[in-house]
Formats: sequence, structure tokens, C-alpha cells
Amino acid sequence: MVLARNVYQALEDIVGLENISEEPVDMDSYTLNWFPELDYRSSPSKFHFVRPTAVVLPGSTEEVQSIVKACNHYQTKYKAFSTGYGSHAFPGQEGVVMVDLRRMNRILEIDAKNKYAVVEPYVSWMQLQAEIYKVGLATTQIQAGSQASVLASVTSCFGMNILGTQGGYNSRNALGIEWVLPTGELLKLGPPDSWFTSDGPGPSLRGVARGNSGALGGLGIFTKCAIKLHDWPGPTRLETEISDPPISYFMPYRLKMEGLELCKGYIPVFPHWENIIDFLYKLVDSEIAYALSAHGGLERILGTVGLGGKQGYDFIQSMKGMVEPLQDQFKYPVMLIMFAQTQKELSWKQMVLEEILTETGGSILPILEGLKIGEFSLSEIADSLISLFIFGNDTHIVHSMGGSFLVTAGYGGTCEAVNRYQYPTGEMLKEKYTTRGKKLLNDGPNTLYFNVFDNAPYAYSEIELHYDPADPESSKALMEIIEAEQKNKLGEKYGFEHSDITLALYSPSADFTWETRVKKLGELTSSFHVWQERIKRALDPNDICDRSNYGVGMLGKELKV
Amino acid sequence: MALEDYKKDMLRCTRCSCCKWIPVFSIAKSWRFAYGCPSIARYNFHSYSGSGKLITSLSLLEGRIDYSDRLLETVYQCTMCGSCDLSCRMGTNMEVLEILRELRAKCVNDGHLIPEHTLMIQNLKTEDTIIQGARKADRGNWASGLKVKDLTKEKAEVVFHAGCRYCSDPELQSIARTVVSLLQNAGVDVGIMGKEETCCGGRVYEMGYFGEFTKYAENNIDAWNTAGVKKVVTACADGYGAVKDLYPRVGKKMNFEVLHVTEYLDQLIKEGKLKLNKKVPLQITYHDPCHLGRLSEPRLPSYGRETTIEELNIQPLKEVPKVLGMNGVFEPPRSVLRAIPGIKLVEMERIKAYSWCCGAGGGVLEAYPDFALWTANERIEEAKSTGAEAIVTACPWCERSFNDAIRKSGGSMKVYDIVELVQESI
Repeated sequence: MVLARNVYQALEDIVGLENISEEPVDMDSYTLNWFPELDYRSSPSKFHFVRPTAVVLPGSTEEVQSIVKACNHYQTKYKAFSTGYGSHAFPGQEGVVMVDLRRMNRILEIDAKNKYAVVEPYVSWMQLQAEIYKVGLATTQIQAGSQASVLASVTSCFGMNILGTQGGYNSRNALGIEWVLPTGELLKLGPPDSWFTSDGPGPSLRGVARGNSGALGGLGIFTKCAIKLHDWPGPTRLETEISDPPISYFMPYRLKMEGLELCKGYIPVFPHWENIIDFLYKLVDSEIAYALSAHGGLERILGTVGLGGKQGYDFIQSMKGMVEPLQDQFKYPVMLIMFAQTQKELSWKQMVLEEILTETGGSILPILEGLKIGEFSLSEIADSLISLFIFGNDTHIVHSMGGSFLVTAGYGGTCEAVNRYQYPTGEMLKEKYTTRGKKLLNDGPNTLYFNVFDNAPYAYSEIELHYDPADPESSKALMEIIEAEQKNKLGEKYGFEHSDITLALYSPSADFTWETRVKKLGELTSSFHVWQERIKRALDPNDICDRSNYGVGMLGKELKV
Repeated sequence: MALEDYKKDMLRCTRCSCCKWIPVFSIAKSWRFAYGCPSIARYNFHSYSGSGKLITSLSLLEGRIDYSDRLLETVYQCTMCGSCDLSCRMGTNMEVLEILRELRAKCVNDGHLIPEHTLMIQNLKTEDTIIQGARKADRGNWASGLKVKDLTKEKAEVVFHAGCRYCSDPELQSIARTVVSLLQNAGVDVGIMGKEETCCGGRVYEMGYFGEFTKYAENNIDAWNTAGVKKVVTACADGYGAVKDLYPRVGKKMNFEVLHVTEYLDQLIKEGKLKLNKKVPLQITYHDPCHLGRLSEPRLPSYGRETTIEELNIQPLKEVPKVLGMNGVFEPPRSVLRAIPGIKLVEMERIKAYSWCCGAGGGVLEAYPDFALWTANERIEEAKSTGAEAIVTACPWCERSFNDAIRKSGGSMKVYDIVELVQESI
């Protein structure tokens, strides 16, 4: 679809000649993303089923407002975009102008005393993190990676983070927000002259703006936000050095541990996933963990260490004799990072950890303590995981095995409810779909990933699946497994709130679209989809902001609210 | 080999945007200097990024888009510095830089040329140099008056390959002369090829002219083998990167060792053959040239050849082990600088394998000088932030780019080649 000339001209007048394009070469670069091949509307193409009509690059809130007003005036759809990661970042219907916010990339304020920072949409986690370390604060960077947008996580989307153990989920770290409503009006959440809260005067609009999972670009454009920051017990600047030999295949850098001597990584293991549940309750109660997550079993962890390529594979093959006997003992590990201010405090935390492990049947296997992988002890590798999961952290890099990865729907809820469903479901699905000639990576039965938040027994988890997007059969196998998991989930009660579910955002088949799943889910719960549609109609009376990935998407238009 | 051979890699791009930044595991030190790719940092549309060019390649191959002026801008307003490749391949096996190179080769083969590059190629064909207006007959003039062996007539253990830029840039020629003096001072049996020296071919490879590259690579290998030299030494990072990284691709046996002058000087200083006694009181920062750093490791492309591990159902493995560029020449130049009395080296934030480009590479200096200046200015800003009085490097292309940018902006930052500082301290 071609944008009408007068509309194009109006947009060009706002952003300038250099900051607008409708060139096919530019448009296609906004049409290929992470998993469009898993959506029946695109499949088997890697290109999303719809291409934007134009891309504009505003440089200020005023320009964003002008763009949105022009779109309303000319009845032209638009959708905001920042770093973008996943097909939901793209338009879901024809005729949409993408508003790429990458020129709005400033850190506007760091208030160390009140522990918050104000950022524009294209500030990445790595940029913010670098600046706030200097004043003893840390972010809650999501697993999408340190290259991803802070604002997108806080205002518009979702994402887990290992640092959530202390820092919480980012929907709860949202403070003041500047919001260009779908009509172009400007709304500031929180007091007009301050950023320290997103509430008041009057009722809170944070739930309306983003809720649990974000509006995914369906409710206007967020142009500034404040994010709550957390204490950083480490040094004001982190230094890395080239590791020769590499500490792992994918990570040729090592973190220099100066200033991090009291930061320790651990990989406790458990005989069964039920022990992990017990462990989590006691651990969050003790508040000794700085960061915590699980990344599947031994095969999965070794895959992370090296399966990305030939050297890594050769390396793992060379260790096979050493690790195979450990496979059973290492089926249910957890990764844990502890920080302390003094050696005494660290010793105390270690003692508490040991006690909790004893009480819950977990252990740091004696054999692991002395284990060397290549030239590195397991302890060194555990420490280096700090840099992997906290400081660097990119999903794309960690998950390059097989070619790429995706997850089943993410579930949030109590540690018990979530894991009691996810562990056996994951193992059942992995057994069924990776051992019978299906083209999914056979990386062991346990590939569960989870985080806990706010040192509370609240967890979020996903079953990780590795596939090859370059192989249509592999993509098809992945679509099957994800559909099977979601049909399984939607049909039953598992003791945790359905409203905590974030569904995977693609449509594997015409009768199993994202919209139909959300609708069914809404009917099972509190009709949340109807409330979302009401919000959409109230804020966007002209239905101009691309609704495809918000609420019930395109189905919402037909909904009786 | 062709662009099609990398289609699987294109299909595996998740558009995560890592290619825009310095590698995530290198840990950014500030908001200001976190970007790795000059092209996306300057032009903003995703098509300018490494990922964008993978998408463009796939789109071209699938017939979704056709050639356009804009497409050529996105392809050629790129210094081919390899930053995107490093940041992506930290964990993946995707051949990002190879795809960028093959995309340019496809443009050339399909007849979609950049006029400034065409002029460079014409000059290369007639004068054996890519510097516009330079003549083959004058190529050896930089060495006039130097008592140095002519390897077309005599034998020597070492050939000093000056490279197109040093041979033809009057502002920089003295650096080539200094190299010869330093080597002679250290007792090295060194010679030059004079007007018979030819372009290394590295730049034209980056521009997509693979055929021309092969011709010049083969010619140089033959010439150096015939001259019987044991070592080829160059002060040009571009030339060094070409010989180390690209020459193995032509498949000719090379009976010589290749050294960048900083590696050789480091050896000579450590062996006590060069004594650096004179104090050079200067606070400097060192710029790692891309071709001396991340682009100086031999990297044989995999051409999409993959194997699968049966027991894992899928797990595509490239037959050729991947190279990240982490073993580039990073320490020798720093070691030389530390050996100079009075020099205080302060590091920038983006160093070694994830150094920011100077802006001169990939044919940008000639075709898009404004972009080259912008990129150089970004680096100079980073250098200034260290408090250094001078930016020191080891490549004539970087020096040209920095000098142009400083001259244009009226800045006071000084630019040195390492060999100039070594000479000052003797």
C-alpha cells in the first residue's frame, strides 16, 4: 500500500526530508524480525505478512505529537517502534506508518538520591546501566538484552529479568511517564513537575497505560519515562578483558573481577523440581540472593556455553566423558548470584544458602567444586555467568543454538503454581517433540527458564525451545509444540491466575490466532479483553493507532463492549 | 561463491539490534560511546545496520525489492569496519561481514556501481593504485634520497610495503620514510619495490570488486615470493589486514611472514635493537585501526557449508571455525607506546576488538566524504574525552581521516602515527 502524497508530505514537513522513508529497501528492514515464519499469515516466509507504508524518525515529543495528529487528521494508521524484537513490534495490518523512535535517545535525568532515571525511548539498558553504575545504582535489565530499549520494557512491553529478584518486574518499576495519547494529546502520568511516581493526582493510570504485558504500541506513543533504580553494590565502572582462551565459546570477554570480589555465582542442583519449589520459598524469604534464575539442565547449560558453533561443539564433545555421569545429578540446577558488602556478610550468606540447600535437598555437588571445563573451574564459570546474565545479557546470543529460539507462553504466578505446571509440561512436550525425529533441538528434557521477583515467591517462567528458522520443517515442528502447549493450558485449571498469562504473540494457524486465544482466555477470566477494548475505544476514538497487537487486536472492533 | 550461499544466515537474523552496539559482553562504559556501527549511528534507518543489510540481501534474493539509489546508499554508506560482525557473532555463527561483502560483489556484478569507486578502479587498472590521480611512475618517489635496497634489483630479508596511501599522500609520505629509517637503524636488511609496488587490493575487495582483488593479491604474493623475502612489513593497517585476512582466500602459497610495523618495532625494541631514550612528554590515546585489529585474523568464509549433529535433531555447525577478531594486533602498538619515555597512554572506551572506525574504510572516504568526516569526528570526540593531547594510530587511512576532520572542525587534537613518536624518542 502506498501512502497518499499529501500525507507523506505532511509527515515530511514534520520530521524533515532525512527522517522519513517509503523506500522498499528501508521498508523491508522493518518487515523482517524474530519469528514471523511461525505465523501462518507469513509462513514460510521470514518476512512479516505486512510491510509498513512509511517509516518516520521523530526527534522530539513535539514531533511525535504532530505525527499522531497528522495521522488522525488524514485517517492514517501508525505504530510506535523502538529497538524492536519480535513480530509484535511490527504493524499487523496494511497501511501503517511506523514511528521509529531511535532519534529520541537521551538520558534526561539521573536522580541518585531518589533512585530513578528519566529516559527517552531509544536509550538502551547498556547505556543507562553504564551511567548509573557511576552513582551506585543498577537497572532491572530484561532478558531481551542490554541492547534493548529501557522505555519499551517499562511502558509498552514485557520481559523477564534476572535482576528482578531484588528489583522487581518492570511494570512495577514504571514511575512518571510522558504519553502521547492516540489522538495526539499529551498526558503526563504522575505529578506535572516531577517523575518520582506515575500515580496521581486522581486515580492511577499505570494499569491503563500498560497493565501487565504492555499495550504493544496499541495505545499511542510513550515518549519519556522514569524507571525506578536499585542499589548497585559493585564498582562504578566494569572492565572487561579479552579471554584467551575464551571462557566459553560465545563469550570471548572476561569480566575483570576488581570490585566484584564479594560477588559470587553458584549453581546448586536438586534431585527433583519439587525441591526447587521448596528452595525458592526459603530463598526469597532469606533475601540473600541478588539475582536468581534457572536455565534448564546440564545439556541446556552446556549448550549455552558452547553449542553455538563448531569450536564449541568440539569442545563439548571433548568433555563428554566427564559430564555424562553428571547428567542425572545436574538435571535440575538453579543459578544464583549473591553480593555482599563485607567478607563477613558473604560468609553469612553462604552459610544461609548451605542451610537452605540442606533443608530442601539441594547441594553444590562436591564433584562440581573441583570440576574444570577446559581451563576454567566451575567456580570461575559461575562467576563469569554474572557477566553473561547481568551485565551483557542478550537473548539472541545465549540462544543461538539450533539457529534461533522461541518459548512457550510465559506464565507468572506463585513459585509453586507456575513451576508445578511448567516443569512436567516442559518435560512431556520435550520428550514428545524432540525425540521422535522432529526438527527441534534435543537439548535435554529440562529447558525451563524462570525468574523470581521482589524477593517474593512470585515467579515467571517459559519453556525454551530451539529451532532453525532456515528450515521450514523445524519452524513447523515448533508451531506444533507451542500450539499443543497452549491448547493444553487453555483447556485446564492449574491453580494460578489465567490473567497472569502472556501468550506467545503469533498465530500458528487460522483457527488458533492470537486474537482467538486472547478472547477465549478473557472468557475464562474476568473478561479482561472487553476492558482492554473499552480502554482502546475511549482513548483512540478514531481507531488510528494500530490495534493489531493490543487486547484482542483486530477482533476487538467486532466486540460488544 | 555468491550471496545465495549465506541465505540461511539471513533467515536466522532475529533483528535483535546487537549489531548496532559494541558487543554486549564488552560492557558499555557510558551512554555516549556505546554504539559500534557508524552507519546506523549516522543514518538511523535500520537498513543501514548489519542486520538491515542481511535483510536487504534476503529481500533482493527473493525478488521483493530491486536496485535503487537508496539501496546503494545503504549498502555503500558503510565503512565495512566489521563492528556489526563482531557484535553479532559473539554468540552466533552468522557470517555478517561476509554477507556485506558478497552484497557489494552482487551490486558490482549486476552493474550497479558507485561512480567514485569506478574512478578508483579505473585508476587501479591503469596505475596500480586506488588513489585518484596518483601515477604508477611516481609510486616510489616517497623514498627519494633514502638509501634503501630496490628489491627489483637486489635481495633483502624484509620488504617494506608502503601501500597506496603512504606512497601518494604528500602529508603522510614522511611516515613511510621514517619506517625505513627505523628499520635500518635497528639493523634490519630492508628493501622496497619502488614503482613496481602495487596496491594490496584490500580496499577494492571491500568495494565488491573481487576479481580485481584476486589479481592484485596474486601479483603481490608472486612478487614477494620471487623477491625471496622472509618478511613483508607494512605500516598500513589496511594492507596488513588484506594480506592477513584476505590473501589466504586466493589459495597461493606465501613463503613469507607478514608483520605490521608495530609488531616489528615491538620485537626490535624488546630485543634491544632499537633504544628509545629521549623523553616524549605527551598524553596520548591510541586508536585501534579496524584492519589491524578485528579484521586482521585470517577468516575463511564458510560459504554456507554446514553439518548437522544427528543426535541433536538440528544443530547447524559451520565447517569453518569462526573468527571474531579477538586476536588482532592490539598489544604490540600499546607495548611500543609504553616503551617511549614520557608517553602517558590513556585508553578510550571503545578499544581493541570493538574500536570505533575512523571513517575511511570501504570506499567511504572517496564516495561519501561527509560520512567519513562524521565518523572521524565521533572518534575524535571520544579521544578528547580521555583528556589526551593527541590521538595516535597505526594506519595512513585513519590518519588521513582524522587529519581531515580536525582541519575541517578547527580542533586542536594532534594526530600521530606510532612510528613518528618512536622516531622522536630516539
